[in-house]
Amino acid sequence: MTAPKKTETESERIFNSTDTTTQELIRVILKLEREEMHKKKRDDIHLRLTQIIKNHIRKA
Amino acid sequence: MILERLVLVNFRQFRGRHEILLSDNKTRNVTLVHAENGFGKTTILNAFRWALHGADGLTVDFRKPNEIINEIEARVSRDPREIAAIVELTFKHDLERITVTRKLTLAQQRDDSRKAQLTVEVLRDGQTLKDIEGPLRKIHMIVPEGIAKFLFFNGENIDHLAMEENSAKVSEAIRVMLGLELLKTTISDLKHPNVRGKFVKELRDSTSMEKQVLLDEQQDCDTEVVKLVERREQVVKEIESCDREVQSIDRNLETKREAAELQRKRIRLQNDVRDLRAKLSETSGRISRLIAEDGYTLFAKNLVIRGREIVSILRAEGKIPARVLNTFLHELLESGNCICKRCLEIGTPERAAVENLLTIAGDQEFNNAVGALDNALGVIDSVSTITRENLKSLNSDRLEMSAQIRRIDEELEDIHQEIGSKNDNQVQELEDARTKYLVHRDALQKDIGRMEIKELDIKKRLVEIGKSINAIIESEEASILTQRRLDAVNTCISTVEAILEAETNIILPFLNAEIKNHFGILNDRGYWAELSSDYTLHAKNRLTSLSAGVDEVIEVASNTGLRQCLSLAFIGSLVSLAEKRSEMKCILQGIHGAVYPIVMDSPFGQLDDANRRGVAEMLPKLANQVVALVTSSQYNGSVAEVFSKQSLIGKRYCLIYHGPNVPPDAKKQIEIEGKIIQIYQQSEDEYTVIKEI
Repeated sequence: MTAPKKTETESERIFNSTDTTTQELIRVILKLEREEMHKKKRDDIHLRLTQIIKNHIRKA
Repeated sequence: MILERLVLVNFRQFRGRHEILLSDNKTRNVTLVHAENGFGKTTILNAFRWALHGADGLTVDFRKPNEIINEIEARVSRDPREIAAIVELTFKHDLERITVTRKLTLAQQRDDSRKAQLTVEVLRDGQTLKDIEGPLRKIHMIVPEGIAKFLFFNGENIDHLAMEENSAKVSEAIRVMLGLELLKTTISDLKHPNVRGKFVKELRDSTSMEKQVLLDEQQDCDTEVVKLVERREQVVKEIESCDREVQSIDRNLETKREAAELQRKRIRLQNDVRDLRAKLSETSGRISRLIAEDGYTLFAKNLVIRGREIVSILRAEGKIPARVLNTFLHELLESGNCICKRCLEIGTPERAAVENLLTIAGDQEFNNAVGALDNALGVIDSVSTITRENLKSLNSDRLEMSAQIRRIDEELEDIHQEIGSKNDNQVQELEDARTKYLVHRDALQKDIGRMEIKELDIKKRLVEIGKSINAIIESEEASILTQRRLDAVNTCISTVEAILEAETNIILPFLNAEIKNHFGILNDRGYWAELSSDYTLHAKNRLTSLSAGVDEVIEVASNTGLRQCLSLAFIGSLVSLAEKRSEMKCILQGIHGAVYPIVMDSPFGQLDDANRRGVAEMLPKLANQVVALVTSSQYNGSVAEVFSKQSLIGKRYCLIYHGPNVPPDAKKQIEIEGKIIQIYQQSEDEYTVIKEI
């Protein structure tokens, strides 16, 4: 978590207040979603999202 | 996105090729298409949507959506693969000129009309890039399907946006037009049963009562083992007590004259049988060990014979031992000299002679292996003989000892019978008591045997339980991991939801200002429009009466015309704001301003004359480029007056209907800007032609 900055928007503040794992996870998920948004069939995207989450959250 | 040209080929009632060039002039930004009802206005609107998004893009009022190809052409076609409906839409976007072409052959239409072929050509820096990778993605980046319905729409049906129950559609419009749909899609995907639901299911599957049941059973087994051990100790003590009683009785019997001699003999025999049993046990152990270690040699006789035959054959054939080794010959050839000092250079007869020897030379490793095998066969043979003899001897001892034990047992039984038959009550009582204790002792001994078997079974079960519990613990570790993953998904969802709300809140004040501005153009009654925080559109009015002391803001009663005006103002505001998007801060990368056109079927359909005038005033300001499809009854009067006065029309077309009869309520000719235009042509075939005017 980082200290809030004066120039931060509310959404930036929300994002920065989460832990680094969540931040990284959201970045990776949004990157995938941006590339695949146009697809109507979402099964493959759901599978990839699940894999992303599994890859980021592993055994301690 | 600036529309340049729409080309229709055999698309519905537009038989053959037709095109509309769209005005991209910034001051005369309106392209008007005049058409009577039933001539093809809705078809043109849907041509834009079909080109961009295929069958999914068609409006709900587009009848027979599976029949895209012109009926006459389809009927006369001889080759269903040749005849096709094509819509080609060319537009400018950023620094590119893009042509989207959607083509559906009759064969495809018959198979599945949704499977139209899509191609996208991009002209960038003077170069045309054909068959660009991912045409769908390209279109989606410019005009997502969600946006299309707010840009290409039927004006008569747009009033629904201003209905309270459709606040979700308003919210959706804001998201898709202003680049926040990515967040909504992300939330939706993360919440999907295939993502969050998958982790929930994994968690549910991995949590069970099985471990508790096993732990209870483990505890029961442990308790049972403790009880068995205690019971066995107790029984051992009872056996010892029996033994002591028997020894006491034996000593007593030794003192009785009638039984003394027999009792001493019994003691001696009991000692003998004890020794014999110990020896028998030892001998049985030796037999077991001998069979385990060398027993195999007893069954290897045939193999030894066969092995020796093979070795003999190899010897007879001179293969072992080798007369000369190939390794030795290779060394000679490599050194180039023979041991007799002759030169073995390539080409010499001496070298050839040595090379010839290689054909009969043997291998050292093969020699060694056969030697080892021969030796092993000898060892097995000799061990077999010794084992057979030892087994024979031990077995003989065992049988002898067993026979001795049997004989002594018989003697002991005789002694027991004899002592018990003595004519002395005390001796009889002692012997009976002795028997009772021995019987009890044997029963106790059996109890111990049963307890040992039971303890063994319980311990085996404990091992199984331990394994099952370990498996569950591993599964629990997996469930902890799944819980962490589920928590991560939920955190991502709540964070993205909060971000979406925050981003929307940034936009709302800008949007409200735009709505107020757009609505102000079409309304001259002092009303203003507002988008509330729950995404509903309202027209507001201020009631002021100094005499009555009234000054309050009230919501204007809604009707279809007012709702249509509110909806148009809202869409116009979104289009305007989309262009200014880059001026607003956004957490998402790649959000930039985008210019969008508006293509509207019947923008004046449901409006009264006052509102038509207002909409006509606002229409050119809704977007940088406006395409309106109007009937003569909608256009004539106040709309025509506004448009001609302000010179807003850059391009103008009319649809000429050919058919056996003019459709009901349709005119055969219309007057535009003082010119009479024939819009109906008598024809056996039914089709429409686009004409620029």
